[in-house]
Amino acid sequence: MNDNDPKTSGGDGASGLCRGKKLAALASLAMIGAVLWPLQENWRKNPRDSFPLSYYPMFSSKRKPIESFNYVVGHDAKGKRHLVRHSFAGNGGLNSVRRQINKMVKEKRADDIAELVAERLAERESGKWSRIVKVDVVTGRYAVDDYFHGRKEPVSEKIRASRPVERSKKSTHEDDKSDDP
Amino acid sequence: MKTINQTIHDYWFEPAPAARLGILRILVGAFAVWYLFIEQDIFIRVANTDPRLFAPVGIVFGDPVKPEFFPWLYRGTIIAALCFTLGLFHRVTGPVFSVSILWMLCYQDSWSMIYHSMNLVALHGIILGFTRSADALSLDSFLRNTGKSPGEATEQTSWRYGWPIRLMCALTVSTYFITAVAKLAGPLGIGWVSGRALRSQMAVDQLRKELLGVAPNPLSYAIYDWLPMFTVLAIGSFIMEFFAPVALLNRRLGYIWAVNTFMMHWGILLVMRITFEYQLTGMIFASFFPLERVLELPRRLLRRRPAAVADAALPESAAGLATPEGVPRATLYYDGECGLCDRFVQFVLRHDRSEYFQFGTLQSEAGREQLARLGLPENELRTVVLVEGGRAYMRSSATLRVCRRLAGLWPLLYAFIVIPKPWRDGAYALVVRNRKRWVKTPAACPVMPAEWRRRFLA
Repeated sequence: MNDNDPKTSGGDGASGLCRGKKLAALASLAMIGAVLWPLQENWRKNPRDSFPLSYYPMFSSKRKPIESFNYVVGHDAKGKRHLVRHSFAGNGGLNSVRRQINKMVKEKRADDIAELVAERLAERESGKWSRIVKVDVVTGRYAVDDYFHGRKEPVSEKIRASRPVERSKKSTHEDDKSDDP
Repeated sequence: MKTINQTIHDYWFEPAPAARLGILRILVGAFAVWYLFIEQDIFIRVANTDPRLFAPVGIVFGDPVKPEFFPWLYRGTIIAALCFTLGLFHRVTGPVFSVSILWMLCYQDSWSMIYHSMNLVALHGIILGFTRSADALSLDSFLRNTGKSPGEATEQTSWRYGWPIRLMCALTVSTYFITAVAKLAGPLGIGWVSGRALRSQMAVDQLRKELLGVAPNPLSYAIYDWLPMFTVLAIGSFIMEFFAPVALLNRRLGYIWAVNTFMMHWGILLVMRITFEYQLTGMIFASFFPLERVLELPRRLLRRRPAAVADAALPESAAGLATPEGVPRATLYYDGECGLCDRFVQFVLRHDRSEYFQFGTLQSEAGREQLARLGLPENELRTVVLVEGGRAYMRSSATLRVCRRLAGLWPLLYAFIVIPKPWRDGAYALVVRNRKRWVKTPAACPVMPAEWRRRFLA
């Protein structure tokens, strides 16, 4: 690139921008404007988040002393409770699965989650997960402050769906070194 | 108004080396390749999710892609990312990478969860993919410059490489600023900085992770009752976010902001175990730093005579000038028809006891070449230009850097460098506008001692 050539270098002042600089300025303004545009979502009645243009609402919400959570509980033959790992309940990372569970519970499709988890657990023939005989999809309410001071029981818990884990004798999966399905 | 326009123009189109933009392309591209490799399994599993959970986000629309077709799209994105990183056929692979990484990230986010931490990967990818980020440090430039000096391409400097970097910085700080506004506009308002909200956020995040089978984070429990610490963290992070645009005003402020925000993300990882890869690797902040200096490291390590290299960058007319061994030399170009500049040069001559500076007028051949190299018109006499260490400084930056090298207490004036450049340059412009009114141009050149005269370029 020859920046000594004033015709191509854009070596002009602000008063007479060359074509390249005009395009660059336009593209810059458009991108900055697009990134700042979601700011208005903060004042909308039903704000809508998107990607990659977001209004970044994730850390701004006010948390209540008692919060509700959707999750999956497994029961072994002795009736002991086990919190089922997220990877049994959906695809993707933890937050992705958490959102999927929330969405399905909201859409009254908790049965589908219970069925998926029961199917995946049924494939386990040894280890902790092989002892689970029943799964519940539940909505639990927790006092957050109490939880962090050792009182870990839910304030209340509502079962949304239940499903027995039916293991087939033909199942060939023997490895259970991993917690993941 | 013209001054404001000129200041904005000079700021946005400040020339930058092609190598800096090239390194940014390599870093962002390498990050994308790495991320796509390690997340491959999750991406492909997500693509096999119940289609009823699909809600298109961003540039994705319509129905989900057929699961058997998706891995081919994914591999195509990895290949585009590899070509982009290497700078191979950039005119084609750059835009293809930009669009494909954007689509891929949007597609991943279309299955219930938006990963905000990846927003800037997509935005930086767009900037680098559609600009001349492969003019240096790329296979394209290697093939184009076969037979030429390998350093030639990397040493090019132009506004074409400057504005994409400015834009990357601007978008980075904008996203942090938006986060701060969301907090202010949220139900807690400025009360968010009390730290209670941050603690609740950490606690809820920890609780829901445990309920989904993740092991507890002992640190979360250990610090839960230290509310003052959360207050400090909340105030600190809010300042970093709300005042993020300040990082654009001055290079040093940019460094300070980038380092502190980088540390903030590591703090988030420790306390909340939230992994923001692009932020934690520091890639998001790379555009704030003169990355091309990394390329000088091997040369500096191998260099035996620093003065010899400094001489090489100066005009030939200065080659015969005696310089103390090991002391670098700088050249100050000034308006030869300005009384104030003339007095300033004499002042520097009196206080520059190590003979660090040599001088040339902007009207001289060397001065005109220097202006052309900076992309300035030949008749641009409203600035002094200081060439030091292979870099050029103008206006207030040049003046303050000169003061730094003088004897006595004058180097203390260099402390003014912390003032944002547009403000400093605004004051400089005021003086320049009135310089001929305040100090008359001498009718004849002053008589100088011989030891001063030899420090002027022909």
